[in-house]
Amino acid sequence: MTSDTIQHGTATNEIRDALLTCLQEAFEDGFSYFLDRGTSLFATLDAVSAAEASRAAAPTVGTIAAQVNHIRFYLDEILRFVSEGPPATRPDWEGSWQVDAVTDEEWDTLRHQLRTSHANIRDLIRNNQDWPAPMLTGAIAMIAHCAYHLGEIRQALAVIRFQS
Amino acid sequence: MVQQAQHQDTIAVADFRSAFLALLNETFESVEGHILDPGTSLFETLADVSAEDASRSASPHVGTLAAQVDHTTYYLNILLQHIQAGGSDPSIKADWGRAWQRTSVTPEEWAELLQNLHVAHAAVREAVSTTTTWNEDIIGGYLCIVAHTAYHLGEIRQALGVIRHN
Repeated sequence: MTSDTIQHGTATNEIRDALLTCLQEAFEDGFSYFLDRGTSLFATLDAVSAAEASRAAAPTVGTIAAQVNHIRFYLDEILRFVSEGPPATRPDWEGSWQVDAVTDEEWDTLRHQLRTSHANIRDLIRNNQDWPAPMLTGAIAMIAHCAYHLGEIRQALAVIRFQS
Repeated sequence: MVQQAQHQDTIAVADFRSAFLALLNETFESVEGHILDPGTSLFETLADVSAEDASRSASPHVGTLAAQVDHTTYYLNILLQHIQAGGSDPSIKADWGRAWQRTSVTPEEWAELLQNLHVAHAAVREAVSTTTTWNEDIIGGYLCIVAHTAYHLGEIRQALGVIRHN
C-alpha cells in the first residue's frame, strides 16, 4: 500500500462497500454507525400515516410527504445525470416540494416510488466500475442528502406527534 | 494518480479526498450546491442562533439545539479517535448519552460549544489530509462523519423552523 493510492483490487470494492453500507443505514436498516437502530428512512416512514405525512412541523417548512417526494426527485436526478449527462434545463427542485396533503393511496405511491428510486441507486453503486472524483462526490452527496432530510423528517415527527 | 485500467480497481486518494472535502465543506462551511440550499451549512446556520434559542427544543421529546451541537462535536471526536487508531478500535468507549444531557446554555457556554465544534471540524479536515493508511473502516468513518453531521443539521434546521415560529 502506497501513501497516495488506495491500493489493490479490493480498494474500489472497499469504497463501494463503504458507500453501500452507509446507503443501507440511511434507507433500510441501521448498523448504528451514524443512526440509532430503527431510525432509517424506510423504518421511519413505515410508521407514518397519510394524515401525519400531510402535516408540516411549522408553516415555513414542507410537509413530510413533500420531503419524501423531494428525496425521491433528488435520487432520480442523480440517476438521470449518470445515464444522460448534465441536464439541458435546470431540474425543477421547487416543483419537488409541491406536495401538500396526501390520501392513503397517494402516500403509498410516494413511498413505493421512493423505494424504486432507492433500489435503482443501490444497483448503480453496486455495479458501477469507474469512480472518478465527480462520481464519488455524487455518491457521498446522495447519502448526505438523504441523511439531512431524514433528520428533518424525524424532528418534524417529534413535533407533529406531540401536537396530536 | 489513479492507475487507469479498463475498469478501475484502485481509486486515487486525491479523488476520495476531493469528494469527501467537497461534502465536508458543504455540510459545515459553505454550500456548493451538492445537497443544501445556499446559506444553510452548519456553521452558517449556527452563526444566527442565540444562546437563548440554543437552549430550546422543538418538542419536549427531543434535545435542545445546544445538545445537538454537543452531540455532533462528540461524534466527530470519537470517529477521529477510531480513524487515527486505524479504522476501528474496540477499546474506545463512547458515552453517547452524555452529550444529550445538555439543556440550557449561557452565552459563554454556547460560544464554547461552537468553538469546540469548529476545533473538531478542523481536526477532521487535518486528518483526511494526513491519513496515509486506507481501509474500508477508515473510508466508512469519513463517510459517516458527513452523513451524521448532515442528519443533525437537518434536525437543527427543522427545529429552528419550529422554535422561531413559536
